[in-house]
Amino acid sequence: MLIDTNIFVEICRRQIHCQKCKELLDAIRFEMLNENVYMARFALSAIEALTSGSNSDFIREILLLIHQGKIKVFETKIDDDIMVNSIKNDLSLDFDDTVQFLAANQLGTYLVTYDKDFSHTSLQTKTPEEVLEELAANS
Amino acid sequence: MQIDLSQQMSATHARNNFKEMINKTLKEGICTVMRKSKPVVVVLSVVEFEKLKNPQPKKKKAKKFDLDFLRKNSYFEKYVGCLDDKFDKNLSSVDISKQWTKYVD
Repeated sequence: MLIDTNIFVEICRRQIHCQKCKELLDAIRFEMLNENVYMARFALSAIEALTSGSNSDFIREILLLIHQGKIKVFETKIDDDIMVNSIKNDLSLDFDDTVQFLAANQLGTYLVTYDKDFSHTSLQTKTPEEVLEELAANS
Repeated sequence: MQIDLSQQMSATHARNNFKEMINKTLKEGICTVMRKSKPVVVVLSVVEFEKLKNPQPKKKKAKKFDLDFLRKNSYFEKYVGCLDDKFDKNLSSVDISKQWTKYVD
């Protein structure tokens, strides 16, 4: 799975899906997922920017998960940036969403997000609720 | 080198039946072209080629999923609402995520 920025923001903003997002990150931390977990490099930068000057412990926690290999960072290459610029208009997505689209496709995985902008694309998306339901059903 | 019979074709046959070779490759994922009974060329489907280019790391063996345990031992509980005061209350997490460049120092 590839995790979108809004999943992390849900927790920090105590929004309506906060509980499920927290459970998903906790499941990652306690290694209860039997699949690889990724986030795009820019998503990490986004969380760093959003939390700057506020709670640096949260971003430190995310960096620790990366350091421990529980979350892998998807780094885009120049070729990917060229591709993103070429396809973003066709997909009717903004730059960040197109990077997520490309990253998920290259990784052969789905995106965990609440963003509805992907609904018209071929990208498979799941909410944390759906991921956790599947985990519970398979356990 | 062990090659499944269904995944090989002689060079002469491949040359004369290019379409068949493509169809075989799409079906099997791979077609090995043989010359004088030796494998000389491998044709791959795009799907197999992409897998080769971007090998997936081995999956770790996961611990048993236990929602009750996660709820009792939540590590991220302490970060709930840590940015409550920073953003407009009316903005959703998706809205904030899309505007993150505004918050770069």
